[in-house]
Amino acid sequence: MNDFGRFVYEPARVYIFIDMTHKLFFIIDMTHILFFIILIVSPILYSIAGLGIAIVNDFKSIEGDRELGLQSLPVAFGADKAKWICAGSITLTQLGVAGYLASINEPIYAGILLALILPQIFFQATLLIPDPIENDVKFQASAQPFLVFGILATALCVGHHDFSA
Amino acid sequence: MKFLVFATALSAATAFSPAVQTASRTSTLGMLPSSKLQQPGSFYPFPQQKQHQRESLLTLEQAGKTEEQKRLNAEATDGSAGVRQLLGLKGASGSDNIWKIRLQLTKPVTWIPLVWGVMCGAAASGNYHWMWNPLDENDRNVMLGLEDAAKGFVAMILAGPLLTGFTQTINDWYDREIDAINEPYRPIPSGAISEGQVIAQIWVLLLAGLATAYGLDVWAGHDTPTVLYLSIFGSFISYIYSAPPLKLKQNGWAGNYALGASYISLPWWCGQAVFGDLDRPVYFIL
Repeated sequence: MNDFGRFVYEPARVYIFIDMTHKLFFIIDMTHILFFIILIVSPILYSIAGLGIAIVNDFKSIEGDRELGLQSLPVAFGADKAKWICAGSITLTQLGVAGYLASINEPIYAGILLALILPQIFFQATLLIPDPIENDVKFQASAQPFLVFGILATALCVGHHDFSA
Repeated sequence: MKFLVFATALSAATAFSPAVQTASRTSTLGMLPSSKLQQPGSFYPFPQQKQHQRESLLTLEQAGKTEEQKRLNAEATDGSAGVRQLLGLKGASGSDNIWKIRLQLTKPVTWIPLVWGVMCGAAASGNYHWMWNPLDENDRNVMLGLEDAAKGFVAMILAGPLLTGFTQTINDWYDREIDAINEPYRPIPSGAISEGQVIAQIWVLLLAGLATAYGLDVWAGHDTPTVLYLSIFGSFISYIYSAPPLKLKQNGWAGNYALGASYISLPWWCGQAVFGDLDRPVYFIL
């Protein structure tokens, strides 16, 4: 009990205050909303990164796909938008995974994963974004190894982490 | 809101290097809705597609393209043509050997990510035992290590040759008409393998895959055959990815997401299910 009346904490990410006049109001805790969003979005983190990797292969066939009526993302959005969808889905999801590893108190693995993400951002900035059509194969060959070793690092972290603790 | 997101993305781009800046400036123009790209109802082009194919078959331009495709697929001259055929790469040599053609249909290069995924899943299970772990004195049981290595190998066969082979063959099967136009040298449209043989290959790979999956479940002592369920789910995704009426591959979002998820998440789950349980919160990250 305090000046605000009864204070109730609900794990449902909503604070309920009942003030002295018994008017009830909710204060939504933004950090919990954020956490909730991460819980909803992150189940599909690495597969969304896979989505980005798959989009890279569509840049070379924009003309042919358009002729055949195939709605690949570069055809539907144009190469300029698609390359951002592509880079964003690859990078943001992996950053999300690194954040998750950090949040379960595995800073070393999170750091390793982050160190494997940085070269990918570099290759996105120097190859994919400037010219996705010309550099698609080069980008895959340069950035892919860092992605797959990032997946392995994540796997080792999950394997060594004690989830019961 | 959409604009804000892209504005943020663009400003992030300018942070990378000054050279990128000019590229993003032009891309801003490209993002404006252009009538050419925004055709109404063009997101689900299934009914119109066949017509498109027939029309394009007739155009001279397309004929020229076929020649170009042939040139691009010209046999590699660096002596790798035979290997290329076996790996399912372009520049392959033609061969009459039915087993080489069958292997070519399964595209062995595409097995690699799956095998890697199984390995990651095994690592993530926290229950894979080495024959002689240099890091852990208590993890040096040779027999246990041998059994786990064998289990892992079978899981990799399941994910690679059997189910990816099934996926690639079924994909080529349902693409045979479009390949006849764009890549007429592929095994099915070129007639190097008969239709009956392809269908037999699809069924053998699928059933062998599901049987192997169930075998792994028995080997791992599962009460619920999780590996079998994963395999059925994965083969179903493969089917709707390639086959009408859904043909997810024709849709940019659904097709690429199915592809990405199948290449990363499914083999991970498989490897993890073989060695441990799917109890770890991996659904956070896959």
